[in-house]
Amino acid sequence: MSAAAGGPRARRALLRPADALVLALALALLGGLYARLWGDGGAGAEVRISVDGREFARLPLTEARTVEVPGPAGITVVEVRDGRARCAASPGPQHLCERAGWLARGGEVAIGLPNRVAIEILARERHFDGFTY
Amino acid sequence: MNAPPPAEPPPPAVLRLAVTAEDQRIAWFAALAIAVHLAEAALPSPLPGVKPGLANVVTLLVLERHGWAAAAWVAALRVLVGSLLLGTFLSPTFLLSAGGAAGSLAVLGLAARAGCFGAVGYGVLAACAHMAAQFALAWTLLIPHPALLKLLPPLMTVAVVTGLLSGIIARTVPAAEADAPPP
Repeated sequence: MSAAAGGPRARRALLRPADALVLALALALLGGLYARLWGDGGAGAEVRISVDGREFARLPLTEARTVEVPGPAGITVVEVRDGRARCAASPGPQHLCERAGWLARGGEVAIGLPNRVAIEILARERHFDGFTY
Repeated sequence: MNAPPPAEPPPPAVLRLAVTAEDQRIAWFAALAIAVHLAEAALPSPLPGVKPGLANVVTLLVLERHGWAAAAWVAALRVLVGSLLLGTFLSPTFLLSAGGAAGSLAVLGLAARAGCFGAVGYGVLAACAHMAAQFALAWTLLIPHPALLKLLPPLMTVAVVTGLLSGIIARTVPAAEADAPPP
């Protein structure tokens, strides 16, 4: 076997400079992966309020506020507070929209059919109740 | 006695393929890699996709001593024969294994062209590329679900650690043993 560049001693070095660089980059990649994928991906980011299928408002969950949403049956009141959103009052006779409670995770929805209002949490990660395969 | 020069020798009854020293070396290393591959398959795995990847030590050895083409042969033969022996040929396991090998060989080819890396650098690069390729395949072919992404950081951590270890092993195997002549 021919002598490699740098001689046998250099060949036997455990870590060449380029190896150390690769190792450092790999560790940085790991840090980035953990920060990005194990970060706050589960928390809801925005709430989308739509009336009759059309988007009425899209609000960040971080700002507390109350919105009055006009629909065909009257006014639905949507409350946003502490990173959550809920339907606070609706004109429907059964108040199913209110009964959905506070919504915080991506994919959670409250719908008031008489007023055709849908309140949905938008997040990078959608939450599902269950899976079956 | 004065036989005429054989202008047209009769076709040999047995086809003889010329076996070069390179062929023998590749076969020898591939056999070694397959043996490690099989032994490793018997080990229990804590997580799907987590394996020590010790068979890649052989790939790293061959890459450093005999170049990328020989390493690619050894890795491809190991994946193919290993899957035949384990009965996973053409199964999803085989696809993931082959995809991972292809990914790591591609990265190793680029790294070998750069020429500034040692076994440890090759090992970490190969393991990360292997895991990334496998993950991408698993994502597109098997389970494209966001929850799978949660597995990526620990899987890549394992890849970096095993790549580092196999690089260190490949680097510290005595040259004499790794270059043992084929019997």
